[in-house]
Amino acid sequence: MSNLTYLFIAYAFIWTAIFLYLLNIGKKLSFMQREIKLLKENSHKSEDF
Amino acid sequence: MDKKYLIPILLSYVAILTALYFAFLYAPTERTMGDVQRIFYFHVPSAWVSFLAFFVVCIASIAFLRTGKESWDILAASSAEIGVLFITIVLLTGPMWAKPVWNTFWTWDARLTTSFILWLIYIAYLMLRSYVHDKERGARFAAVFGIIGFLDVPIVYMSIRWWRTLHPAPVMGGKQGSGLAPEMLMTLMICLGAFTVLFATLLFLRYKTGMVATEFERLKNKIHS
Amino acid sequence: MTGLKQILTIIQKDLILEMRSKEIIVSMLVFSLIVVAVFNFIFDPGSEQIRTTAPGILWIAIIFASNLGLSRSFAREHENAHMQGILLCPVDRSLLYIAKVIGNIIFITIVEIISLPVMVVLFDLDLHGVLPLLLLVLFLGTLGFAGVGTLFSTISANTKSREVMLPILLFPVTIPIILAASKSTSYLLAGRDITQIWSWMRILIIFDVIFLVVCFLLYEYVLEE
Repeated sequence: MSNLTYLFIAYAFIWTAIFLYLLNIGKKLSFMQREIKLLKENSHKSEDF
Repeated sequence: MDKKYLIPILLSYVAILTALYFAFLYAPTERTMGDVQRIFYFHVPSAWVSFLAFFVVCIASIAFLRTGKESWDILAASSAEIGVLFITIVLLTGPMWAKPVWNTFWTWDARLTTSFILWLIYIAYLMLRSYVHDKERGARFAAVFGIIGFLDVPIVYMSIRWWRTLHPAPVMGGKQGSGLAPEMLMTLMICLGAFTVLFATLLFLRYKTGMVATEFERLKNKIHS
Repeated sequence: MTGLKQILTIIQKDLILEMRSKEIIVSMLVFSLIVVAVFNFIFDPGSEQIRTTAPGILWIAIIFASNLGLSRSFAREHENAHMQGILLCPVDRSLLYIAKVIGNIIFITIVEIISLPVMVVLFDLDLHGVLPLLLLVLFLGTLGFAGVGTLFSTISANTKSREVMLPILLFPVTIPIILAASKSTSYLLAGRDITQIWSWMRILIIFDVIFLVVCFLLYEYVLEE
């Protein structure tokens, strides 16, 4: 394999790691949005009392 | 995980890997500059993304001043952060390419100088955002500065160009645009596309984070009151 | 009250305040002279370099001193809540911008009138036949710098570290004005052809117009609601 192929593979690894991290952020975000929605519903309910 | 996050992330992952393949394996090695020229495929798209990001800052700022909607302010802040990230990449990769090719890290050429001043302006923009007391007023300050900062870009570029053309121009052998091989042009286009998709994804994630943070703040105030 | 009278009243108020304390003018003046003196040590005594760089030093002294004066004058207003007082009066907000710009120009011009002869003596400059044009260039540069400076100092007066924030916002954005003004000055003092001088002065005028119009339109957004 040529040097450039190794370079390509190395960079592919780097970006795979970065995108795995982005996926992680996306997961955390969806979790937070769900939590906030729940909290909002709860606060509305407590207002009704 | 929510599909609205999964799809853009996967899409930009595929785009970036394709761009890497084209930049490292598909594009031919440049005859005079050698492999170092491959920096070009990441340098130019980064510059493009940073300009796009600052353009979004300007548009979002105008929209914020007109409507007063907080979401526009969040969009401007998100875009500015990503823009600063990419302009920093431009300023770091540029000298790495220039040193072996022009035999100097830096010249005060119009494009280089403008990028540098742009970096300073948007660092100032982010500092301004974090240094205000009153959040609502701070958002308006940032919007005003965001608009002037972007309008300043062509003015800075023109002024530096007039300044440089009246001086002996530094020798710059074969920069981009002049006789680019079709494979190279193709690679550049793919890299530009990939970076744009990456920008959109990052902006979306950052924007949603900002929205969650404000919602959170609102809830907190509601509970405290 | 007519618009003109309102403008004059606000300027008068600023001038009376300054006449009482003399805080701003004196600090600006001393600071500009210090800049001139310090820059003098960069060069070998009696070398020709000083004369070629004198226009640049002059502008550095002016913009640094202006920066000091601008941040001081708006900090003073902020501390004593003058701005709230003015905003309570039935004064058109766009007139307020014009009045503030003129007031700042007056302060900077006083500093220039005193420090220019000092520079002429210290750097042995030859102003024969160029004085009217030089004064025009000084005015145009001051106009643009004060125009942007007035807007940005209103912003920075409301941030946490206002003395630091003002130059960080102001200097990168006003680089085109500083460049055009110092180029016009250096061509003028080097006795260049009038067409060459005029080409830079024309750029300076265009930049002044653009910046003043944009800052004028945006000023109302940085004031308190």
